[in-house]
Amino acid sequence: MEAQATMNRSVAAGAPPAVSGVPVRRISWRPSRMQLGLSALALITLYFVTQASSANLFTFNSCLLAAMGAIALNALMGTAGQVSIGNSAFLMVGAFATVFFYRLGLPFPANVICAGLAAGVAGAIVGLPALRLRGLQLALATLAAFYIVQYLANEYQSRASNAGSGGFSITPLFQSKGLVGAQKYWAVTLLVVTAGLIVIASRTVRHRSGRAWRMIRDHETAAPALGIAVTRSKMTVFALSSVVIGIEGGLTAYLTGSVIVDNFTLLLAVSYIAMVVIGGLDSIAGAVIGAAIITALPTVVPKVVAHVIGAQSAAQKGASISQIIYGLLLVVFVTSSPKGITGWFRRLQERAAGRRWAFKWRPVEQAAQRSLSNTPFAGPIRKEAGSA
Amino acid sequence: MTQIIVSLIGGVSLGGTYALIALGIVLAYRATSTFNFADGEFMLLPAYFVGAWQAKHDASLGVALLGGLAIVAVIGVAFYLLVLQRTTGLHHFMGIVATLGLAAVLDGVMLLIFGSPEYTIRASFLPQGVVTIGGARFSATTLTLTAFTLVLAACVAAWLRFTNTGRRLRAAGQDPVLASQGGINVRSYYTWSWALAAVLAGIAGVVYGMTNVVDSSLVNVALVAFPAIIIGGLDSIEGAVIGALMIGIFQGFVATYLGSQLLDVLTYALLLVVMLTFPRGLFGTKQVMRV
Repeated sequence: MEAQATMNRSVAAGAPPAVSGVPVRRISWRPSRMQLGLSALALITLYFVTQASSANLFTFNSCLLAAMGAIALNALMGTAGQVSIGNSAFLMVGAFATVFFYRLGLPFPANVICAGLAAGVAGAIVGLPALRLRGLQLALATLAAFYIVQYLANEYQSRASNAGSGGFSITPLFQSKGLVGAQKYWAVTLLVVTAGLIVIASRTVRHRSGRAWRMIRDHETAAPALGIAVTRSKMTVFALSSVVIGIEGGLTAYLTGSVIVDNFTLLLAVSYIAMVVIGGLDSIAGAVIGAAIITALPTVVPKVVAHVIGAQSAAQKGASISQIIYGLLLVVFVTSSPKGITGWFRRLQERAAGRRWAFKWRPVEQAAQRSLSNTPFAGPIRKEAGSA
Repeated sequence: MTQIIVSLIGGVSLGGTYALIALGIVLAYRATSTFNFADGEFMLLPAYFVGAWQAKHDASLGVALLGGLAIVAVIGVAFYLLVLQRTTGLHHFMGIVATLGLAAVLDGVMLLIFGSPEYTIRASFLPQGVVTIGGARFSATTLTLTAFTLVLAACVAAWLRFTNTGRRLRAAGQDPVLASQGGINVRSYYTWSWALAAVLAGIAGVVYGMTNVVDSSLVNVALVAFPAIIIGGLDSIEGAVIGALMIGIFQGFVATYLGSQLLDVLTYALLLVVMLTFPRGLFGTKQVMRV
């Protein structure tokens, strides 16, 4: 639907009506949703770079990094419908591969890119079971991958010289720019990287491969009949999303300056799922919004809570309170708003366009008029007795 | 020889715990086709409750146990009624995502209420002392608890297979519409199966806490039940028990001969191998690839 809308818009924009005698507005350029989003992101970055302290900037940078992973997971889970709870495995591969190449002596961008490729290979290997397994079993396969990667990373960490239980430390990027300056440089760098990723990702999911992924998500058995190479598509989406997550892991290592196995938990993987679900499945803007919310929670919540229960106990309890909040958010969104935050926007838009809620079930004849893309997932649905 | 017996009995004792967890997960899965990723929290909560109770008041394990199990059963039922029922009609993985959310909430709540303590649950009524089997020495408590978990798991499995209630419960999960036309109150069976699943997990947690330290890592024990369920064949109740025993014994041997740091990785590697070569498991039905 989005792709179609953009197309219509560009056709309309390309041929301004020329009526003689009436002054024609020369510039009828309307920004696409992606351009609007990117400019908003740039403005927010500008705000943080000019205003914020280094701590806030660090949180903002973490949000941008998380947004990369969320976009990747969104392609895998939201667009292609492959459930993965092994994201921290790929983050771990990215971070540890970066350390590996760093210790080999590769300079900055090269080692992160190599780490991304390594994560991509790991993703393709984990994707192998995806060729045979679906849904729950695939989720368990990614869980298995998590434990296997964790073991390997632990071995590497304990065997490597001058690492040990404290993990590895690498020189953070832009260290020479000072505490705040480094974070500012990071913000701009990450903005460029994330914006590039957004452009690439939205092109990918709107075009041929994205349509193939959606078909696999909704009707895997029918997809081959439409000439979709299911095997290749699944492998591609697994590998691509792992490359991005791996690069994110490497960049995170450079941002924080330390890599340690204990940081990559199953809960981290769940938080990425939360980002995608809260933001809205199959929506890149949603992934970014969800990433911002989930990443900012542990920083924002203690500050808010401090007003209620005092600063000291807020510092103690902030982490668990924010965990409760994000779990609740996850549950609430799944039950009452499964299309996530972008679902709200879409609903508002549809309302503004004079249509009634596309959300509620309506009588058959009306439902038939509804465009197919409004159905959240036409694929295998949870069935229950319902009103029977 | 001694080592083999140690691995075997240690493994069976682990397997008994896994069997209870796996039964609970399979039960909830059979009823509502949702895999409960919050089962570890369902184990930990009663174990914490009993541990905290025993730290404050002396003895009276029974009351604490009942209280802990009641709490977790209420949570399970509330989760089904308030959350899972409302995910009907959505993609299957939304149910899983909801259980992940529940796990996060319960983790946070337990951290708030209990902090991160380390309890050992005392059960003085259990036989103490040491029993020697084939040259290997075992504590009588462990053996009793192992027997208890195995008998309980077998009883629940038999109850689900042979009684009318169990049959109705399975029917409700298999074909809700047909079952409801047969006069089965499908919703109430689903609700009860979530309560039972939570209670089974809670018992497993408390029993585990009687021989091991109860801390937040207990949650990971439930995750080991997943390989057991896959090996047993996802939707099979007997399969879950047998798969749990196999995983337990496998872990017993791994721990003895290869070292406990390899436990997780080898268990999950086994899971991958089984899923790739034999995705149906031992007793699973073929149509189960539906999530």
